Amino acid sequence: MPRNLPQYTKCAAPGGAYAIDGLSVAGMLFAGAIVGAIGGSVYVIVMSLLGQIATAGCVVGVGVYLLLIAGLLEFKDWFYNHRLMCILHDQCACGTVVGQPHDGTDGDRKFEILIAPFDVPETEQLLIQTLVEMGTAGTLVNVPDAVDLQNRQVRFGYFRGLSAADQIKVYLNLVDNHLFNQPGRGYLRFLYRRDQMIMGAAAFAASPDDAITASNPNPMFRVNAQEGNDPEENVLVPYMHCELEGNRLARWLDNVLVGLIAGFAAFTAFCVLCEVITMGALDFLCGWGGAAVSALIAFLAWLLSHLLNNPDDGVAGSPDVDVEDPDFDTPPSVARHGDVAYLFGDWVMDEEHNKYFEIHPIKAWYLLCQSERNPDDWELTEEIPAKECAFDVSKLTEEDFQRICKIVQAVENTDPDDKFTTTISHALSKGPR
Amino acid sequence: MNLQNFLRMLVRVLVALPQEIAVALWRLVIIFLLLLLLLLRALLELIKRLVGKRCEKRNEREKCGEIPPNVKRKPDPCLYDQFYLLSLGYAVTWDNPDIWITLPDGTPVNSYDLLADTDYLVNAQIHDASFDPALATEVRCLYRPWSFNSPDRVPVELNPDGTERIVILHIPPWSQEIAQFHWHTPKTLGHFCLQVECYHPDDKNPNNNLGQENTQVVGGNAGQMIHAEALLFNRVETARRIRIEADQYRIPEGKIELKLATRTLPLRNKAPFDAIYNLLLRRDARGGIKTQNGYAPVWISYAYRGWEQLREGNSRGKFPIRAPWQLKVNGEDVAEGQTAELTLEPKQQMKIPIDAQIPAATAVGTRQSLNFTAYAENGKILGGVTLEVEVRT
Repeated sequence: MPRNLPQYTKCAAPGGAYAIDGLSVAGMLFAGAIVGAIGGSVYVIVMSLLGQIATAGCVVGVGVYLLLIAGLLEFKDWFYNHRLMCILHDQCACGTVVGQPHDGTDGDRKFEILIAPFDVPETEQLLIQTLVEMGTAGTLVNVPDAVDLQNRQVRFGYFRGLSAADQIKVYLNLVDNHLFNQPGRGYLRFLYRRDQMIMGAAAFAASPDDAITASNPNPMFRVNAQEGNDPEENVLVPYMHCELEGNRLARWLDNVLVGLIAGFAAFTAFCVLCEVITMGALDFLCGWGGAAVSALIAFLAWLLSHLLNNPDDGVAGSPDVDVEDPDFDTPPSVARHGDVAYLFGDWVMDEEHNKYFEIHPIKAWYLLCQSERNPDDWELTEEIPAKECAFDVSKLTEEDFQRICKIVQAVENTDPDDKFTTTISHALSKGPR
Repeated sequence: MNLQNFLRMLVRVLVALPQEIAVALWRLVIIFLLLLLLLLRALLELIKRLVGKRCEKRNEREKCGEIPPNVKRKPDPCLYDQFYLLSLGYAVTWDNPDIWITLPDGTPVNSYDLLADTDYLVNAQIHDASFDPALATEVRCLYRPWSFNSPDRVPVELNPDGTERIVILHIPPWSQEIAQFHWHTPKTLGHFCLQVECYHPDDKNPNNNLGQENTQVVGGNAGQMIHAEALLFNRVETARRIRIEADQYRIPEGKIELKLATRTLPLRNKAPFDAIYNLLLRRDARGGIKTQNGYAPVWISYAYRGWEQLREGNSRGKFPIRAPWQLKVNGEDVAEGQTAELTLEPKQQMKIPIDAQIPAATAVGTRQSLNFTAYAENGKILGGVTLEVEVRT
């Protein structure tokens, strides 16, 4: 049923989303300068109306404050309204969590998903096959023997030694020629590789070329190791980035804004008072004095706002909501490396991160399998079967995936019935409270 | 960034600027007010600490992989679980409405009188008692010798590689699906009980996941004494005093109606002086000025209320065996709410005889349920069986 999940970030239509680059920064500074100039002009006009002279220091100070405020607003606007490009809303996805979930600076909780119906052991073996084939074909040099590549450290060491361009070539080869080309198993290929029929012409045109034959292909899946963790723990699979939304960055920006605006108000008030009281005798001090006083006030205001509006409370996660009613409240759920989950959320392209596809935000998380396997174990033999749950993601068919998607879309977009009538037998089965 | 985007950005900033300034100044006012109140609170807590009263501890911070409550989905796959129902004070039948056996062509058969070395279909109906679909629910089906609680459980169906076959179901909310198992009964003739278990890694309530089908249909004439037996096991290392109760409960026909209740919570950490804290405004980057509550994600959750209606007509202890029916378990009278008691040595098993006297005036075609439940001395439920007595002549 609809959860009325307000989102902090709004994706922009193709063409309306853009990356932060030198041109964007210059544009923001220029726009900020325009706002600052307008503010400075208003200050001059107001001072004239009061019969006072607006000193250069105060005019510049007003302009600088407004430039900073405007710049911050522009950044906030870009981050939350123009960083992500919409592709499709309410998309279903399924896959295995790789690596440990972690929180980003912006407060979003990040999950990396190896898209179904592929699991980590199979993908790792196909990666080995890809490396060996490319070595034999001469595309890569010094590829270790296939048996040696079963050793995860050897594999990781060799792969990390490749250039970024070669790593991308390997992954594109893996994805196109070993994973999604398998009959009946490519139904989620579009989450890794651009597909105009599914994305739509506008989104397709606004996304970078990811063809294996392109001179500088930009894959839509992620190939880098998990951010910030011990690289030896990372698993070399192509994955899709998914995020739960938090608003740590917005809170931090709001606190800075409170400081800047408090400083701006203090500076303007100081300047006006200084001009009026000194009647132009100490014009040269008004600007500097105002800067000093306003900086102190800005800092104190920021500090207060930071104490009461802790940015860390904006991390996506479970806030301090006590269990009040067992009918409503449920024990917490934790996502772990190796879990298989079914996701529901918006499919976007992230302009900030090399234009990857993402599910952002994740609106619903359905756990299908909780892995009991130690993610650090190497899959060296088939002799000892891995301890796993009965749901096998590698056997998930397109038909099952679509059937589940229909159930999920109906549930996520429909209010439950006001009444539920059932037989007494079914009611006893469903568990009285 | 192209020129169009640049101009749009400039306009947005000029429009947003006065709002942001107003919101920030308002925040400053509220912040100062909160600061005063917090200083006062800190002072009071200091005084409390000085006079020896303990302060509250903060809750632990959540783990990194935790899924917040408005995003996680928690299904509740379940079936008619006698143990769960008994623990809630409900009467039960061991003739499970969610487990039934048919021939491969769908013809229903009696679960007690199965033929040896024969193919059957075991049907297990699994429900989802949640507003979230129960995706990838695992269902197992096992059989064991006819008994209250035999420990020897065997899967009814195996995969070609010899592992137990587990059926995966995807169940919509407040609905049910059926898992089917192919069972080729053992070559040796015998009587069996069936157990069905469902499992989900994120189960909201894992206590209602085990159902048993332990039913024997016995035919007899009016006035006849009928006899049955069931094995009872003591699985623990100490002697056990066991009590057996009997009743004539049957799941009633009819329906109940439950009503939807909705709860809406702003999903944010509660702060001291929360009402004042909520006066802090924020200009949402997506547009609009919001309070703290309005800015936080909202967690809407649902429940169906009215389950207490089930108490009427289904409570434990309200369906004693009434005269003129006479019933003995292990030679002891268990009619009219009486119980049979016995002691089993560690690891001992015992055949418990059950004798029922069909009243002479019972009409032909009458079907009487006799449920027997065994409890250990600490009240632990050990298991049960149901006899369905059909009066034939």
